[in-house]
Amino acid sequence: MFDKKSYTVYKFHKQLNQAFQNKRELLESALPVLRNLFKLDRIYFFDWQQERAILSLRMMCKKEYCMDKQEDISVIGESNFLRKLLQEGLTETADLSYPAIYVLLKWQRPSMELKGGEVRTYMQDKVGVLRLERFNKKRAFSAQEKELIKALGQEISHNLRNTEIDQAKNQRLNVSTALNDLSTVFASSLRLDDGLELILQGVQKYFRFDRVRLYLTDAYARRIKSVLSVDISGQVTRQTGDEITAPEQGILKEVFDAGVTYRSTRSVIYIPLKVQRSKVGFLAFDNVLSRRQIGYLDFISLQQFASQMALSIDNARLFERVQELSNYDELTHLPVRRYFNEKFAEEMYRAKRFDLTLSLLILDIDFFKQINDNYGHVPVCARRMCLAVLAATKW
Amino acid sequence: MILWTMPDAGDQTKETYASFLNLFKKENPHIPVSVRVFTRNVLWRRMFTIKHPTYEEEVPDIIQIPHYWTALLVREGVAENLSQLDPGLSLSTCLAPLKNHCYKPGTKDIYSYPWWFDISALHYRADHLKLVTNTPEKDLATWDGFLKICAALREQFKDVPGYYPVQNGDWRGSLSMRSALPCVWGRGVDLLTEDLKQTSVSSKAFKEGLRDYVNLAIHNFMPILRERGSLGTMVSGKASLMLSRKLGLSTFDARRGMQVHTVPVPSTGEISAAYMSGMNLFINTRSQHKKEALAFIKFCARPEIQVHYAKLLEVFPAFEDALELFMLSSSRRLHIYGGILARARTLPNITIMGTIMEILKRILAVCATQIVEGRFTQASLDRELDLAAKEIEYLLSIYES
Repeated sequence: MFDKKSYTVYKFHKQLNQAFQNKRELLESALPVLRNLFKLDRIYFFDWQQERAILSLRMMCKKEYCMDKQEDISVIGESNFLRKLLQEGLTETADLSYPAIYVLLKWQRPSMELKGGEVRTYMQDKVGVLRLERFNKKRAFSAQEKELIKALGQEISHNLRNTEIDQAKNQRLNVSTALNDLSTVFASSLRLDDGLELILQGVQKYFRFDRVRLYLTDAYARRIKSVLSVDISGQVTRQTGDEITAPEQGILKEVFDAGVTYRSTRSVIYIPLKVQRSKVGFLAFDNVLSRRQIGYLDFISLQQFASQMALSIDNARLFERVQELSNYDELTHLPVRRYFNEKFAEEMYRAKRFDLTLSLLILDIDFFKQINDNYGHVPVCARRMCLAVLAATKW
Repeated sequence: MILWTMPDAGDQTKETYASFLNLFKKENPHIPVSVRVFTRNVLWRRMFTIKHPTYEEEVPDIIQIPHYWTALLVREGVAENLSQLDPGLSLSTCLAPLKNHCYKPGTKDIYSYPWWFDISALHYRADHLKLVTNTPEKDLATWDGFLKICAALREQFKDVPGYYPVQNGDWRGSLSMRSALPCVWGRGVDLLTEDLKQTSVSSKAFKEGLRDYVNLAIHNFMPILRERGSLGTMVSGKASLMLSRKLGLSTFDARRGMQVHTVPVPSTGEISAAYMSGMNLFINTRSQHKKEALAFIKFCARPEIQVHYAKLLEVFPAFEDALELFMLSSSRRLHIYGGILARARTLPNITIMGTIMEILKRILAVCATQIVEGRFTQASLDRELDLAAKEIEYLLSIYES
């Protein structure tokens, strides 16, 4: 015997059997179908905010279109209504002057949390409610219609789950791609300044944070030496550690001393940059302007990225140190002969290239050998001697 | 071309836009326009993602915004410089209070263009008020008088099921910061000091002003977090007053025999102020249809189109010539709103203004839940405002120093 209900559910299933980018797209597809099927005047979709006991209206469907709507309805004091809806999945309302029923939607979505230092992924329960309305009082919902609506509601729930899973997968893929792109910057440059600006701008762009800041410590990890910051305009600004405002210094000290990831609110995160046991600085991300929460996926991905970043900063610093050692005399801190040769070659090229005049001043100081033999072993004296010679020849 | 907009006409928004866009299409048949309607919440979040859209996200061409978002969008770099796009574009006939909200702060470069504005007022049913007072306008001039009238009305209509003295004019059915602003201003204080360098949100006067507004819900004069369809309205006789920024005259006029009067929002102190909320249009820097978007903006700015749209939405035109036409077309409108417009105040156009409103909106949402649950206290509201003040000071130090 022909089962109309099963056939209707099957047809509905086929119509929804496609990939939707997000919940909104799915509802924009499903609700007009429901509306036509049951000759409804309106359908509303609510999110259930359990902690506030509020139904939050998100979308309305009427005629052939859906549109965003917003309305908050408290269900405190509506225990009968709630009980029936939760137990039976469907209930009618007595508050309206026309027929209207509420249908429960329950689905799950992938979520993650940080517990005891470990990432735990789990499926989070989500609850939504549809309200179906007919303005004509004589057209109440029959028992068969209610059964069918419940079944179609379950179909929507099932598709919501699939959509949330797909959306989470896409999000992870986007994050991985973004971090992969950013990581190539580390590989391509050992010069610290070149890479850091690009990386911060990249993080701000991919993750769409309001602000991204990088605090770098001095070589002994005792204080903050410099701050690189990118805000919503995408412009990079630099500050020295001394320019950090007093209100900011308090929290930075706390974060710096603690050396652990710090999440002051769901819109602000500080992640330390550590290599083995030494700190090179920390990253701060915030959405204090937009007040958007930073999701756990972003948070965890950035933690992993921060480790890579810390290593790269440390490598770059080592490289700079090696360069410094090879170019400057340990005793006098003045450039060595090799540095002179390199620079001279550069200046010669520049002069030829731009047709400039190049002068070379060679100083032959009388009795310099004797002075050097007697006093040259004292670093301060040696350096002062050289600087005095330089000052005397300045014009 | 894609237009992002807000549900300004409520449930009729799409129909309203369809009829309005037909006018545009007649003159510009080569410019198809698709409309997307987003709530303010959703639009706010999207303002921070349109700069770097993912491949699956839509790129809008033209977007409607509350006018005080302009500085933020300029800073973010998502609002096109309209003065560069069309050096002849001018704001000479724009209403003075709305001009500053079109520029990049500190310059005369136009980044958003005014579309319409609304202004807060108190509407009441004359027949209902007659039952409780002989001098409604005098009694409703002050907030205390307003609350007394509400109490008297509650008593008068106590046998009417589902009656509330004040119909909630907020679309979300909750407490609204935009409705609370005249109460705060009436106490002689604002969200920020005059130099815009500090916040007054934790001041005694601000807390008192906000409490004045919240009292409407605490005393159960105005429903909050209730199902809209189950509530009575002024038209159905189950409410007598409404604080609203919409003109509402046409809605009320539709019911014969029902006289609705409009007065300024009752004052909570020495100052009587009306919140003037402007809506502007800006062009997305990523738009591939900037010329078409500019054509739409100019179309919307024409006096006859301004008047037509204002009537559709029950709001006011943003340009002087159009406003004059609009006001003079109804002696009643002129009489009622002449005085109210003189009290108009707006929010400043600074980077963090939108964020400040979001912070205060969240506080009022928490208040609303607490009131419904019967656990609201002034101390908890004060605490929230003190924390909000710190947050705002921090934002000022980052973005406005």
